[in-house]
Amino acid sequence: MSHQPYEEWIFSDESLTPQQYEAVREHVEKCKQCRQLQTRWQAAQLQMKTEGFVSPAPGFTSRWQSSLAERHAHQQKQSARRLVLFLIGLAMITLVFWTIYTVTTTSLSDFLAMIFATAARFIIFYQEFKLIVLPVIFRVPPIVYLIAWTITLGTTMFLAVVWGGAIWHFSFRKPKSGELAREGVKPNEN
Amino acid sequence: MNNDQPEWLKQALRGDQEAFGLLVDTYQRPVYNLCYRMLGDTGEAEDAAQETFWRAYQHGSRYDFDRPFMTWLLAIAAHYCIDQQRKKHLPSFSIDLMVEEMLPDPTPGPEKSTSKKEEANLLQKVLAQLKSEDRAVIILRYWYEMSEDEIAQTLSTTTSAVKSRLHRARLMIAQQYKVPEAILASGGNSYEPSTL
Repeated sequence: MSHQPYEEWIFSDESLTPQQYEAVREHVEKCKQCRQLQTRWQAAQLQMKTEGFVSPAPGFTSRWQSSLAERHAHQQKQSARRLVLFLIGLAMITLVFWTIYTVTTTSLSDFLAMIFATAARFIIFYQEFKLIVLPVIFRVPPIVYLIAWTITLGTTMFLAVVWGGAIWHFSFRKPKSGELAREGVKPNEN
Repeated sequence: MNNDQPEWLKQALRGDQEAFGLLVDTYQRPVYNLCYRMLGDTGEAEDAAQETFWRAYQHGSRYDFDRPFMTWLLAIAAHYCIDQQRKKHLPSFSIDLMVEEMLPDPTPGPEKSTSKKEEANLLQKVLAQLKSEDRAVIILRYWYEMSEDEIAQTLSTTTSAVKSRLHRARLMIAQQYKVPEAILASGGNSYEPSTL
């Protein structure tokens, strides 16, 4: 038995003409398969229409705002990581290109000579620096050394604390409610 | 630009976090419902709904104010859920065995609410058997009362593809949604046809 176009009409969203309606009714009376389809489809359709919307657990907006803060922190960390990787990559590429350029434009012996000459120039510069600076340093009273060391050490420690604090802040610390409020986060709805 | 959109919505899509909180408050239910119907699990639905709002927050500048906002948001949710389903490759299992367990109890009275819950579970399980694209079409049609054109726009497909998916999905639901034998025997008179 052919089930078309009855099957099509059973599932149709559009209103049927009286003739189509009558044809479906007659077919469904005779055809068990289509009758079953029609009944089940109507039951399912009714169920879908009466089901309504399912709501999330209370506090969805608060959870979203917390996750937004976390995602922002994650994005910042990723950006910092990308910047460091980019700078390292740039330095490596520059080094590789410089080495290739130098090796291809000069002979190996010239290249080695250039490296040794550069090293020698650094040593000479260091020796000359010592000759000029050391006599001056020896004439400075000991109290100035003490002050200079204190300032240097103090500054280094301060910078180390700031650096460590910044890493902790961006990596581990969860935002406080005051900060969340400044970012437009509402207190927990629960 | 469509001036019917509320000002807070425009602010939210420009990245104002306070306004976006209001947007989440307003649209959480329809977005969560779509994710739940698509994924069938409350935890996954929560994650998917959160991800939907995050994507909307990130790409707010791409929103075309001439389109209904809800359609845009539901499009993000539907595409995300379809992708999740594709990644998961759900193991298939016997629908017959499953629906036998979930067969609704025709007994009226105090157990009616349990029976209703079972029917809801049964519907959700039948939905889970559909292809994710077909399921999305059915959900948008019957829960969100979208037209075929609106569904096509939401799922970035053609109206004819939506029609064909709707037909396939309806047929599958009708084959798998097992109603009590008493109703079947009576020719389904307990259910008022909507179109006949």
